[in-house]
Amino acid sequence: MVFNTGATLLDAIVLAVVSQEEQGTYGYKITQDVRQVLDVSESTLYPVLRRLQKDECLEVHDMEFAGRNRRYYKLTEKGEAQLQLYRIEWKSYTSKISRLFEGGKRDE
Amino acid sequence: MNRVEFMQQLECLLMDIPENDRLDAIAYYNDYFDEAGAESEAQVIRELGSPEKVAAIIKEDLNSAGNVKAEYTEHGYEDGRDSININTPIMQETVSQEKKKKRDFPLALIIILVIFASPILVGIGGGALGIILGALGAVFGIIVAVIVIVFSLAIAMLACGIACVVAGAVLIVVGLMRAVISGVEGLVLVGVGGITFALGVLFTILFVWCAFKWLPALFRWTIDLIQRLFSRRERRSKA
Repeated sequence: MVFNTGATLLDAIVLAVVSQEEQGTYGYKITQDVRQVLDVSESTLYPVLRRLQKDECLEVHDMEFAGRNRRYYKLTEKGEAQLQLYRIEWKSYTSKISRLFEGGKRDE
Repeated sequence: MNRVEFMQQLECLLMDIPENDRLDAIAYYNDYFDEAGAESEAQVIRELGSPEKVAAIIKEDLNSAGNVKAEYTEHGYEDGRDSININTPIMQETVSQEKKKKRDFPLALIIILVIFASPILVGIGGGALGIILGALGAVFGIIVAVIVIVFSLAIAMLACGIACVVAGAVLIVVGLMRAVISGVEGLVLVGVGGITFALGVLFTILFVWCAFKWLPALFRWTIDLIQRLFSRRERRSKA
């Protein structure tokens, strides 16, 4: 991709990916889901998850799976609010950029 | 490099971060390998890069998180480490306020500079005024000095003249009295007295000449000079 993905956008993408799983999701799956839309290194997502967890946007719980422990990530209320804010801001941001790119079609 | 080696190296590289951060990271990547499965182990290691790279990314994030605390404020989500600026109307307002602050800054700076520089400015102004007044004073001083010197020279000449006339007259009288007693000595004294008397007359004449020719000329020249100075200033102020 030619456009940079800033830390905030990466936060928003991770929150969106996690929010799609009602029961929560785990690190490996999050990475694979993000990598389907964004070309990021596998090593970049751990710090993002850790930070969102520290910021109380994500909560973790461990669950047994196939005889071992699996750490699940789930959105908190704060995480939900944060994601909602990102959605609104993203819509406003992309619609402006799109309008500009598509040549001054101001009536929608 | 296999998974065990990778994890051992990573753990070593993370020895200098807080224990809970290290354990969390190790647990995460262990989970990650588990999820990927043994068949994807080599691919995961290749994708992750080196343990050094993974450790560096973790540490970098810990450092930036320590410096910039992400916050969910009334202006939205602010964490200060963003490279993409999502522009909401609120955020734009914040930006323009910041710009305004930046614009205010030079004005404040100029005011402060003027306040701090005022002693210097006053000093420069005072200095310039002082130089002008000093120059005027010097001109007047020179004029006064010339007048005083001419006067005193004239008075000195008059004094000399009178003194010489008196001294000459006394010497002539004394010489004549001496000439009666011892001829040659008395005649010398009469001669000296005559010369002194003549000098005195000369000085007196010089004084009179000065008083009637030089002094009026000097006064005229001084008055002329002052008039010229003032008239020039008037012309300048009119222009």
